[in-house]
Amino acid sequence: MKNFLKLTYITLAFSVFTLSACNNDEDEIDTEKPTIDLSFNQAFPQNGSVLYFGESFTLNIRLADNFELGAYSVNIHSNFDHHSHSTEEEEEEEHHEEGEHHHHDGEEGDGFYFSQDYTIPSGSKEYTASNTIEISAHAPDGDEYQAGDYHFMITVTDKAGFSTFKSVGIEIKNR
Amino acid sequence: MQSRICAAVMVVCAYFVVSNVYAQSDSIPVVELNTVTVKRNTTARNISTSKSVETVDRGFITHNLGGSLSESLENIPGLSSINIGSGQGKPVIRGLGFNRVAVVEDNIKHQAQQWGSDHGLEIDQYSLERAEIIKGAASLEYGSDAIGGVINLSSSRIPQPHSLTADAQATTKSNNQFFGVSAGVGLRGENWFTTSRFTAQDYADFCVPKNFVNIYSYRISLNHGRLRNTAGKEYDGHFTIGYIGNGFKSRLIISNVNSFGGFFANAHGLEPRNVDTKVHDRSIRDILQPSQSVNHFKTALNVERWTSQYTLTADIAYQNNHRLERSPYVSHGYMPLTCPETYNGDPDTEYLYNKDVYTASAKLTIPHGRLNLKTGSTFELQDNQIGGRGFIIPSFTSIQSGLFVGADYQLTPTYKLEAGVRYDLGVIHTDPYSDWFKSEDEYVQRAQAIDRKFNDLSWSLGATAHSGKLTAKVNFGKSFRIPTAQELACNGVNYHHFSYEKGDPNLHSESAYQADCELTYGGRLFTIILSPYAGYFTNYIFLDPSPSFDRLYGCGNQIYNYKECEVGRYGGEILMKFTVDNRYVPMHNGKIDIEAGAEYTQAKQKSGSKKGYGLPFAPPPSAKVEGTYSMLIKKPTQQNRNSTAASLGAMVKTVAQQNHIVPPESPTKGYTTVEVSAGFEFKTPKHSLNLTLRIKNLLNTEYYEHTSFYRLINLPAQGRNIIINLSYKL
Repeated sequence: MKNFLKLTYITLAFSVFTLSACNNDEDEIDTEKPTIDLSFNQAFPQNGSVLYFGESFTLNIRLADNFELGAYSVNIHSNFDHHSHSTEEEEEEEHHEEGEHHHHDGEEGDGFYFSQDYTIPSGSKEYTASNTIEISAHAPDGDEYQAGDYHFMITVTDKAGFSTFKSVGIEIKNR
Repeated sequence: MQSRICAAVMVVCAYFVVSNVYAQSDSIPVVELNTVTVKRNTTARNISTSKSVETVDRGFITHNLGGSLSESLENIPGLSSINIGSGQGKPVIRGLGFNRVAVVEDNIKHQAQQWGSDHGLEIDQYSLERAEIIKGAASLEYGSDAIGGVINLSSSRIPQPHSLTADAQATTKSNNQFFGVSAGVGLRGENWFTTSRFTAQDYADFCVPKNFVNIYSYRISLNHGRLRNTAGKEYDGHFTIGYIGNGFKSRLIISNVNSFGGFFANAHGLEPRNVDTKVHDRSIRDILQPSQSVNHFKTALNVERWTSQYTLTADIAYQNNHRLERSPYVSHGYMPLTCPETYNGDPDTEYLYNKDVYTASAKLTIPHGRLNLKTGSTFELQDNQIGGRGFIIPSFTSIQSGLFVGADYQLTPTYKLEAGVRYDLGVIHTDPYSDWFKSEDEYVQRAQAIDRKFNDLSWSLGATAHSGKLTAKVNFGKSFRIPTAQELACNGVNYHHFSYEKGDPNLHSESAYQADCELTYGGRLFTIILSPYAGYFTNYIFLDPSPSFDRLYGCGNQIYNYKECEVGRYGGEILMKFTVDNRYVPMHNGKIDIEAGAEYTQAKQKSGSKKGYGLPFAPPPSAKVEGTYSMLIKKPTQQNRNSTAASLGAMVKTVAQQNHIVPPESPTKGYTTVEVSAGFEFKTPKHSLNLTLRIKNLLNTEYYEHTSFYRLINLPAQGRNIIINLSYKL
């Protein structure tokens, strides 16, 4: 019994030791996701924005993080099937209800596709994305792109690897 | 399918040959065998190992019946479940899951696609007689994958000589309009026995206490709180035939688990989507896309031979796991807008995995006075083929084999020491893979052929002290895990996470050191079990989100890299049981059982880019108290041996908030849930009838489980659920 108690003490001492050994340093870590602001007046693009083939447009999107921003990416792809992963459902529904467009008659055209990522100067907590993006008039093979509903998607990461994305419904037309 | 039938036939033939040899040699001395079938006493086993082991029986599983086996076991301190909807789940032991928990069914390691967070565990929980949970590393006997612990399951018990047994169970659940039935029969002559079981389950979309959910700030309204397309069904069959003779026992098991279920339609995995609500809300029982259908076929042969000099067990098995994930064709990245006619295959098949697994193992135990020697070897071959329009992991073939030697020594009647060492050799080959479509004018090659070889040495040391009502155990050891094909070679977009996942072909075999102990005071009316642990991973392999994006391979998605880092872990569980009966208070043939338990687990990355963060799917600290009043309404007497009993119970569970997260997770708030239950039992000498009623989440509380697959998209856990279970036993 005496031996038994001894063993009990040893195991208890051991567990107290391991608990205290593991519980020392408290690193300061980021647990918050970065943010995307598209709500201010000059923000671009917004839900329902219209762009044109063969022309350029300039982003105006505010990005922020409590620790440090990482990078961001922009993706434009067709929404002819209305698969939608919009982050702003309500507005897009309205946009659809306007109903003068989509249901592409020119079946043959390719969907325009754009995907690009951009770096942010290290150490930035706030950054305004203001890149100029050109929407080419023709596909590399000379075919015309199909006009209609597209998704504009922006994803921002922070240094820790958290990400936030926003997606808006836009329309790309031929001028 | 053909290979499956072939294998089954071969196993059956081999089985009869082997059994007949023994049947002849054992036909002369026929001894009473009842003692043999029950020779393994569960409590004795618990004391005989220095590991922290928890054993539960069929009654526990029935009482705690969840949507999946891992959910049914969730009430054991130290265990949690990664739930995928209401019918699928995967087990987590002390915060470690996926390929870090070995699930063993009838001595055979269950091998499926356990690397995926949306993949459940293909086990028929109605078929189980017993589940043994080893908390902590146990690579010595179980090899790779047992780095976090083991769930050791036993199905169908061997019937008594010259008997016929039968049982039937019916379950219904209000929340997802679940109906489940399971029926089993067992038959035994003198030596030969057979058992069969069939289980069918069907359930509708489950409900949450909310009419809308926010997925990445995207508001999705739900029809009466139902999560669209989370319905499912499952059909399982289980058959055994065996022979038990003097010093010899053998059993052939053939089982098949088939499930078909939907994924929440508004998020294909974690991507918010607009869906045709008219189509989805038409029926709550239909299963539309995205869906998963999984078939797991298993056949195993267990042979055991024992004499006073040795015990020899040998097991061989074949398993096939077929997993098909379907979702409507959607063009992502450079994929063609619509599926071209030249595409070879079903355009809606997103992922297809077909895995064949062959296992063989043998174990020899030699008692020699106070010394008990054991040695064994295991062999496993896996062949995994892929299909579908998406790509995450390549096809692979792997072979793993190991050899172990161990011993335990009874030092004094109180103390027992044990030690063991194991050597493993593993090879893995992954196939190359190129996209079927062009990205920027080239067919992108996503996977190269990789050939890797791994050597591992694992060991453990332990001591047990047992004196009267007190038991103390200490265990220390090194365990390992061979990296999976996904960790080495994955290279594609995971649409469940919106991430581009990239393997690292140069990863090392994951190794961990762990120390744990368990102190038990077990009295007649009061029991307390305290089980602390601490561990250290030299290189924990995990998916690390980077701040960068990839266009060519990742469709512009964020890059997640498989990385290795050091991890420190500690924690523990406490469980107290207290019984009040007639002895102290007049209870009128009744008694009150109070059970209180708590668990705590903490892990921290000690190096690498996520230094200071925790591990993914970390279970938050939790505590629960359960009180049950049970009484014998009618005692069995000499004249009338029938008895009637009833019980009433309540449980309160409190879960703390989880702030120890790792990107891309978000912190999860704490919550408290209440559960009540009532039971009624009628027994005659031959029959027993059991009716239980349980209401989970009585107050319909809206809460979020940090370890749920749907946590990342902010889906709350199931709302109030009334579960009625009726079981009959002959």
